[in-house]
Amino acid sequence: MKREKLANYIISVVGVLVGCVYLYISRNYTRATVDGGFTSAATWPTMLSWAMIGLSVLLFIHTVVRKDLPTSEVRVDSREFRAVLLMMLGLIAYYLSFRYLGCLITNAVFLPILLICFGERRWWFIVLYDVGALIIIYYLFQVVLRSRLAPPFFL
Amino acid sequence: MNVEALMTAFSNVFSWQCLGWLVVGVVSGIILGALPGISTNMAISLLFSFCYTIKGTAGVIMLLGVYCGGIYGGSISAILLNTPGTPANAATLLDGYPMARKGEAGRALGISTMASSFGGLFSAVCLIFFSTLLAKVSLKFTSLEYCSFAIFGISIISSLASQSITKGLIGGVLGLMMACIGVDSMAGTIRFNFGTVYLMGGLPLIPLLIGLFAFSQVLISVEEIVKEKNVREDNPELLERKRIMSQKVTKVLPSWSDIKRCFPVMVMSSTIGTLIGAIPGTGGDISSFVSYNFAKRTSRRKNEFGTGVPEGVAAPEAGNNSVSGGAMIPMLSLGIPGDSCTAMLLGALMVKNISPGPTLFSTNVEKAYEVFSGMILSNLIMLVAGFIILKFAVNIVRIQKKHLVPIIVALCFVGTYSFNHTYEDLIVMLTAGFVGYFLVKNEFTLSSIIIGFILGTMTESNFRRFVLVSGGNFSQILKRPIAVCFFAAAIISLFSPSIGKLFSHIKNKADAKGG
Repeated sequence: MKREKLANYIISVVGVLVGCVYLYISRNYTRATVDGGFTSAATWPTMLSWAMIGLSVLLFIHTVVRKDLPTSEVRVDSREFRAVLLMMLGLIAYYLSFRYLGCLITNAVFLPILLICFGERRWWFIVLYDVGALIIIYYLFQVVLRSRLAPPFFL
Repeated sequence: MNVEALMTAFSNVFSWQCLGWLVVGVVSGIILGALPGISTNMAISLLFSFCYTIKGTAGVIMLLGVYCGGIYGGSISAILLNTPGTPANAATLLDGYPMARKGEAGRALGISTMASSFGGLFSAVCLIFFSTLLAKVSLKFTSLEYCSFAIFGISIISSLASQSITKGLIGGVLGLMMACIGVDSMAGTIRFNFGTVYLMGGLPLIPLLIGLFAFSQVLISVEEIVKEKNVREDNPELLERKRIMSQKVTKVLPSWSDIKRCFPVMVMSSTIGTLIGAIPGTGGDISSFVSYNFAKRTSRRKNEFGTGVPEGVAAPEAGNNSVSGGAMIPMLSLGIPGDSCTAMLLGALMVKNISPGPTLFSTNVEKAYEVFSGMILSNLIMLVAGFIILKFAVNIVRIQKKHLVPIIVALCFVGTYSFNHTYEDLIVMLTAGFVGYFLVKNEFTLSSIIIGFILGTMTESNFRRFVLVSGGNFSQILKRPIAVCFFAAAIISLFSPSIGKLFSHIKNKADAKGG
């Protein structure tokens, strides 16, 4: 099966699933009515759920019928996609570190790691970049905008 | 026009704080727009966190500066690198880059600065006249007209902005579904919160914006960094770029003969851009190509277009910058954004408890005038700042993506956190970023999702209000000609590409038979 077709099939299935879940949950809101029974809190979400299901089915049929689909840009076997997946994992780690170690420690550690991952090898540049970025973030958010930066768990 | 309110607005905008933030906005917009890979959407979403921490409307005015400066900034990399900084500058490189190759980079950049500011100012004046007029007309709109206009906006964005109409519509519906989360505006029922307190107030706009427009772009940039690593040093295109970048950018101020030559083109392109901008779903990219083609067709030097003529730079730049004022017309007067940038500006106004729409001009008129003044000042500051920044243009576009991505990641996290100081916002931003990346890679347009999300509550409440007033009688729609027109336009916009294809297919068949 062609890559682009597979991507469209997955999107169609996910679309139908999302529509069905919304439709199922919407049942709980049918009693909340304010206009004499014409509409309720469920009316709009129900309409949207059916629209989502209908469009997903249409996309599925369109993918089956059409032969000249444009090439999908997601190539699971490519180096670029593997790099993006690694980046996603790294960003989840960044989030966890941000949550527990706070903004400044996280950025002090992760900014050099990211620079090294992207191929930067000049140590003086990495140090300058890291210190400069931390000063800018601190000054801009904490001093100028008076917005509290995320603190570490021990503070 | 309320002169007293206008004077109050001017005095507010001319305060040091407001002017300072406006300069920051314009300069950041130009610099971020000039960096390939950072779109105006991304620039606005990155600086959105500043908007709610800055007091008063200064934050919104700063974002206006980013919006105007961002579109113009994209022309710098289009001229020097043959890579548009934003999609709206794609037409600029057709003549801008050949001019740079001929050693006229400074001249091309100067014309682009002049045309961009002219386009922006022209559309700001149109905005002042037409938004007040449209607001007066729209006071007669009922809930049905609003509902139909919102549906028209979503459908036209879905059909124009995405390569696949079905996917564009799925994006629009997804945005509308996301807007259902939280308290129902009519009955007060809490919907789709999955038992969490966090979602009771609905999905937060700012983490969603940062996730979709900035964070997803980070992932796309990572892909590009890996690709760039594989490009050979002796690549001819790379060598040509290096040669252009080694030039000194001089003689940036346009000569009198260039001004005379480009003036008619700038007026026409600004008119086209303002008109295109006022149609929801269109944007700078469409406007710049339409303006370029119009200038080419009507020029006496049409054969020289593409070889590096000043009109070829002035037309797309005046066209794409004039979209800013045009797109603000439906946003301010009807509360319906024309594109994703104005959708974010609408969000910024809502954060400041300002509700755009016809009532804005009766209840909060000085705020509307502040936006008008902000638009005019942004373009004037852009003119001055643009010519100063051009001296350092080569240094700006030399900044590599691998050095930008880490700081953008940090700004996304810090900016999102500073909104509510909750970690749940970061989860929303991360999820939106990951999902946004896959959607962009599969031909979805993020504009339709965000506009669906912003218009969701308004569309639902107006739809239900209409049902309540009409007693469930849908034939009442036929008695409202404006609503019928909007619904018809929505349907036509969805089927026009298919109808166009059908006509060209029939024509090709007829030609084949005739041939």
